[in-house]
Amino acid sequence: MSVLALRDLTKTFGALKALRHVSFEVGEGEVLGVIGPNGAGKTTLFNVIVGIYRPDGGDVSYRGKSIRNLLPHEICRRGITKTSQIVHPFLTMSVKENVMVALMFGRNLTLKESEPRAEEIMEFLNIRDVKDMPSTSISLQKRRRLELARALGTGADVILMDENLAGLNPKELEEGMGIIRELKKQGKVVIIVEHIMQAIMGVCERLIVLSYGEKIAEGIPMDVCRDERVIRAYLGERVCSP
Amino acid sequence: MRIKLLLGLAVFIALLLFPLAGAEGYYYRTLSTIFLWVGLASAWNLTSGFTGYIDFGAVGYFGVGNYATALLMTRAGIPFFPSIMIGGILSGLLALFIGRYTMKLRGAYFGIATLAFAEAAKQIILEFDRTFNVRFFEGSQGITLPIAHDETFFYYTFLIVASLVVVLVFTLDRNKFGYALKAIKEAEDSAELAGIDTRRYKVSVYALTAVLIGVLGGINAYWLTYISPLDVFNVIHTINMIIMALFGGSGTVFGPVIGAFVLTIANEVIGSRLLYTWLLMLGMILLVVVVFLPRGMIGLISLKRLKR
Repeated sequence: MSVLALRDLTKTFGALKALRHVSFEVGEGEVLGVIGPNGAGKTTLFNVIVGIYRPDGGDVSYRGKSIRNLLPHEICRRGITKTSQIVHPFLTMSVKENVMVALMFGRNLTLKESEPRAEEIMEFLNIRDVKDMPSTSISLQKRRRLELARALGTGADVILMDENLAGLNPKELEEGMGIIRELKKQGKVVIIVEHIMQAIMGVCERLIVLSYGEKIAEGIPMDVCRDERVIRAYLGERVCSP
Repeated sequence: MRIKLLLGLAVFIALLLFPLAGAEGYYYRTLSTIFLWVGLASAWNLTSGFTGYIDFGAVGYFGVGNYATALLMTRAGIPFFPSIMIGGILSGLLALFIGRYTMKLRGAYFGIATLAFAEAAKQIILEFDRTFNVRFFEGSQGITLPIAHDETFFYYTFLIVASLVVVLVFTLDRNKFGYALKAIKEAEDSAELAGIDTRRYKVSVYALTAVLIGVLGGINAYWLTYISPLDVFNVIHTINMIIMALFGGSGTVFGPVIGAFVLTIANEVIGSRLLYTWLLMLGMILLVVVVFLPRGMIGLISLKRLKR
């Protein structure tokens, strides 16, 4: 059975159709990439899945149960959360406290229980060196990592990552890709929105391409990036040899 | 942290023993006023300082507490302490209802909605009797309460209730509940994504604040022995809570306590002598604090410690 299933998902903002009848499924332990030009509806797609926006049509279901009418915190506790493209940490809290908040409320732990678990997560994501710093005074790369730490803290098994790897140097990018592969090994479902094709091709098993709110292609990365429609709508040139 | 706690305890014990020194009534009244404002500013801070939802209608719950206690004591003959408890609960229940709708609003819209609530509450009490041709709230005539206790009674009542409010804020600041409130203040969407039921926490803390303010209002009614809508629903009370919390440091445990102490004393010492210039000075002081010390007087203290 699929972990996450979208059926005919539609979202409009006034006259703008941000999503038009988008359907797809994600299975256990899968890493799915979502690509498409700016304004294609990728972030809207994520926001509808996690409950920030309510869809105007269609349905989202998690492990066979519809979640379309739930609020973000309810969806988070079921097992789906996202990291945002524009990072919003809890500003006056330290890095560790940020992660502890996710542990306390996502998994319903006490303050005491959450502390050692936060240490583990920060260790895994290699941000323990800044754990006592306020979240405002760490680098953007670390802040993106903190977004991911918070997502993992909630205990969700479906993690949506909205451009979490953007703006990183090659070494950081490699490390980020390694983390995604490790998450897959741990049995997490990861859906990533990304513009860096190197990362997409490196970690995703399947790709979905959105353009003007419509799914125009779906398949294994090699096939998708040879698709003429995808090249015309997004890639602009061949990124993989024919 | 321990220093703050010991200091707080020392101040509390000193204040507890103060009446033994046999001071005049004036000092009891001034200190009682300070305790009242410590309680009110701390209670206001619990919602507005911690979640960032600036409540401009806090006086509504103060008025409800005043009237509930006055009516329960004079009409139903219920003793003072049960009356203030019931008054607190009533104002909390009202806040659960009001908060359900207002807590969906953000920023200035929340402020305007709460201000409107407090003004509406005042008008209802003012016009109810005339509109329905009954005698219940007594409209602008107000209600007179029995005189039964001396100044020390109110001194201790205010001291203990205000201390309980501060201890409550202190405890919440350090537990899970406090983290939820701070997360809401700093990034409400991220808080939702981290699994926090933001609406439940916002409405609960709003109701808790209302309970505290309602109880303090009840004590106020019995203390003054005469209340009227224009007095106990006066928007200036809300403004005072805001100013005291901002001055001392909103979102901190002891900021509003310091703010209430300093500004009540300043009002007593300077305000009674220079009635008009004092308000001008207060405005300037506030301007300086907001611009240069966004974290209030507390911010000044912790900043000094950092520099050392």
